[in-house]
Amino acid sequence: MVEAMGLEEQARLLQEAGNAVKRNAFFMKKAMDEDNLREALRYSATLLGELRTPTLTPQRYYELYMQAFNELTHLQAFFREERRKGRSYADLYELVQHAGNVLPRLYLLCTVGSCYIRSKEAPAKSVLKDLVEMCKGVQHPIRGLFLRSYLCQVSRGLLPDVGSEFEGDGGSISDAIEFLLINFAEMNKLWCRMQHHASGRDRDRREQERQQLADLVGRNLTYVSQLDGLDFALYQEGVLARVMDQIVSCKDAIAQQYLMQCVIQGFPDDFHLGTLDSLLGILPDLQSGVQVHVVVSSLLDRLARFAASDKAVVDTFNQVDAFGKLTRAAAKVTESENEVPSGDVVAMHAALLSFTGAVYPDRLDLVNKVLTSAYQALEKQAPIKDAKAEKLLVQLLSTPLDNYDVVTVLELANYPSVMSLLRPAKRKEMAVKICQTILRQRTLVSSMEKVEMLLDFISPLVRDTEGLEDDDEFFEEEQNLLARLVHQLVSQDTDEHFELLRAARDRFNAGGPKRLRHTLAPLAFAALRLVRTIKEGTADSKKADGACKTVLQWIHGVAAQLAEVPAAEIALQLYLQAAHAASEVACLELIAYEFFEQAFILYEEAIPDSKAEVTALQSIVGVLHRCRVFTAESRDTLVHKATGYSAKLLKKPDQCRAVCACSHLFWQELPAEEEGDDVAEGVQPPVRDADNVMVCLKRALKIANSAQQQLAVVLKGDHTTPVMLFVEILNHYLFYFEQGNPSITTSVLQSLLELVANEMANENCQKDEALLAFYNSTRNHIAIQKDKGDELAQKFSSLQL
Amino acid sequence: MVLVLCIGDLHIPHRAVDLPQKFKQLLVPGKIHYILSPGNLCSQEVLEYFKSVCSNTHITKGDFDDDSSFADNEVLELGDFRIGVCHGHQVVPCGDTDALALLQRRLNVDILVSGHTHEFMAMQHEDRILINPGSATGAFSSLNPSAHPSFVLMDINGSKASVYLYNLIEEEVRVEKMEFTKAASKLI
Repeated sequence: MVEAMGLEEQARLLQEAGNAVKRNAFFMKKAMDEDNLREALRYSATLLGELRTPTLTPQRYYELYMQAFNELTHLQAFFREERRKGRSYADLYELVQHAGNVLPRLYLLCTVGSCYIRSKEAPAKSVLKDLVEMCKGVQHPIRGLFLRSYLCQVSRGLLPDVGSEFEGDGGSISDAIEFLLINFAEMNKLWCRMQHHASGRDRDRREQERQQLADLVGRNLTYVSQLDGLDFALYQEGVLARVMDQIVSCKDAIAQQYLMQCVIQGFPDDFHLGTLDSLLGILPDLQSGVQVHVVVSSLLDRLARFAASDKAVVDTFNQVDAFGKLTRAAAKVTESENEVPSGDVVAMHAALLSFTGAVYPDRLDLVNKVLTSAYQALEKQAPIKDAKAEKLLVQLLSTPLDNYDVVTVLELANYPSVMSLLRPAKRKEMAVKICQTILRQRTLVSSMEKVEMLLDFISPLVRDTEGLEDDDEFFEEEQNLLARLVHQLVSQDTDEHFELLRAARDRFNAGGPKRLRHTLAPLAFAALRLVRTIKEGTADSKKADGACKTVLQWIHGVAAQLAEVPAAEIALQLYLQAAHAASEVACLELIAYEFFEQAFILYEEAIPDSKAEVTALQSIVGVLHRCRVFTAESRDTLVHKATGYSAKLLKKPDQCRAVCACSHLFWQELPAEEEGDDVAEGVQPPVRDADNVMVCLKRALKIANSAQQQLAVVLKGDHTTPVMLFVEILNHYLFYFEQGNPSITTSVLQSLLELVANEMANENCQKDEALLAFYNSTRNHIAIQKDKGDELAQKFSSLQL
Repeated sequence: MVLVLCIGDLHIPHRAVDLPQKFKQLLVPGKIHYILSPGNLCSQEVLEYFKSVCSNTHITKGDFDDDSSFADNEVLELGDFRIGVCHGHQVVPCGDTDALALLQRRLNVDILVSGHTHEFMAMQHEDRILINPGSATGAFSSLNPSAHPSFVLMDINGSKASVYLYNLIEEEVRVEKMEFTKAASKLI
């Protein structure tokens, strides 16, 4: 039958029925022209008889209905004409009932009825009541729905609404409501019955057809909402209760879903606010197929918008305890016997959360309550695996991050528990998001409480999570987020700031070496900066020294821990940075010394390869050169060790350069003039040990020499690297010469210049472009010095190039 | 005309959270031809960021970089200039212009881009040019505790180099321009 019919077949049937309508309409109009009422009624009834077709789908049936509808407007005009000629509507109302078939008869009756009301010959309420009752005669769902839809449409504007011309003798607003609600109830019954006409196989198609017809049913409610006389009392007593009754009693999921939305979207916000109990109370009684969360969500959305449009109504929200009721309703939905899919539960709480945000932007406690409710509702289903639910839960957790700054979000005590509902991987994603938000907004987390909370929030990054494999690809990136976060843990109060860093370290410890490799260094640097802040900000120097010591000792511990990770290179660099701070910022000689010792131990025992040794030694020499706190004895020890290391490097060129660098350890820069006498206590005068500089440089020459001999032995005499070293050493001589180092006299320099010139005469050296360039640049530099015309130029003038 | 970005000592995540947003807005991809960085990026993410701004990068190893693919120094030729890049922690005394000039002679470069001091500098020294772009994040250093974020853009046109120093001071980007010309090589 209908089910098996193809689209083409449907089109053909519609075509046929349409042609019949046209044909009969033609004869109907001809009869009208001939003023033949009886014939006109006969043809119109035949025309309407086409609507009895059992074979058209709702969509096709609608097209046919519209065709017939247009023809019926001609009939209305004809009826008015008849009346003008003296025939009463009462007569016509009787006359049309002669039509043999019930469907055409009722269409005709509705058509006359509308004219009847308009003429006020009879009170509107009686005609309406009569029609709405008589229409019960058609019980075929599609035919009945369209018939009643016709009734609804022609009687629009004829209802005895408040202020309408049909009010009074024609009845009152309650008659209008009565009419629409009966029609609504009957239509809903027909609509629901459609469902039972389908076999299992056709259910999907049938449901689709029903969705297409939904608006016919809903239109009754729309008309109710458009009644001018509808006030809250009438709505609450006369409308809502009955609509709700109908919704519950029809026990049909599609109808319930649609009609709940219809009510929520159709009637004003303040009505909803006044009837929250009824609206929410019905939810547990709905069929299991109804997506209750969608209903609740759209109610929440409407109310949120209502509150946003008018801040004054927030009071009303409070009076009726809207938040409490909605939260409880949400909870109830999830507690119902039917297992509600987790996605729906989350979606509803997401709506509740945005409602809370819109109505109570300042009420963090309420946000927390929503989170509690969400947690309780989902606890049993944890971890959430359903893809949609998971996505929505992440969105739900993101909402507070978007609406508040992160520090505020940290007050939401139940946030981590909701996070715990997620699978470990998602939990970590959320933690990453929190970190990124803080870093993007550059939010400072300044109290211990907040820091502890933050570390709870992001615990999947801080420590291992059960059931979560660390993804190598992102691990470093994630740990770097955590590392960057350290710089946001800042307090104005230096004591508190230090406590924050300690707390973070305690937590980081739980992460194990693979995380500590990334997270310890930033802690140490934050603490180093703190040393300076303490020193500069504390007037009482004893107190400052004490505080600096404490922090430096702590940094010592951090660096030691880093060395054990193991991450010796960075640990060594940290010791050096700390040594520099201890010396130059805090002026604490013993501590600075201790840091150097630790750096040396690491250098001797833990630096992995010769290349790393070169870098480490460069840093040691660079930092030691800048430290001015050491008294002669300790300085000697440290410098002695550093120079000792230089001679032990693997490659001669590295040895040679390192020794040159070490020469500077005996030749510190003079303090800048503006510093003058204002030297901090504990700072030693700069070392200017010309003799030892000379010793170093000579040793460098010796190394270059031995490199040359070594190469000669292995028959690589054409190698120019040693000459490169000679030129480099020459440049260091020049540096000290310019600095006025008394050991570098003109004659010493002259003899070195000649030595280098001799070496350069070698054929191989003349072919080495880099070497030539270096040599020529050096000579050029001397030439420039000679040209300067200052005191230094005097010294240079006697040099022979 | 070649646009060269000199940027270094970011120390992310050791000492800084991120490059300032205002710098990121300036450094749009596709405009810059070369990135020269003396080093101390300190994380893979920074390197990736550099690559997103310009694929042609020359980065040397700072004392806090553990990327072993970075060299101790690099030399390249742009326009009439030979340009050297080196972090500078190898140079004693640190940041000393005469010591840097020594390195410059060794590398035989007209322009030396170095870092380490977290203090930006662009100057003519004897017949050569020294550039230090400072720390792009204004990272804390006991060498220069009050460092503010800075970087350098160089526009090289034949024998002319226009150097723009970008400084972020109190959330405001300030730009200074300096012009340098390659000195005619002087033969002795």
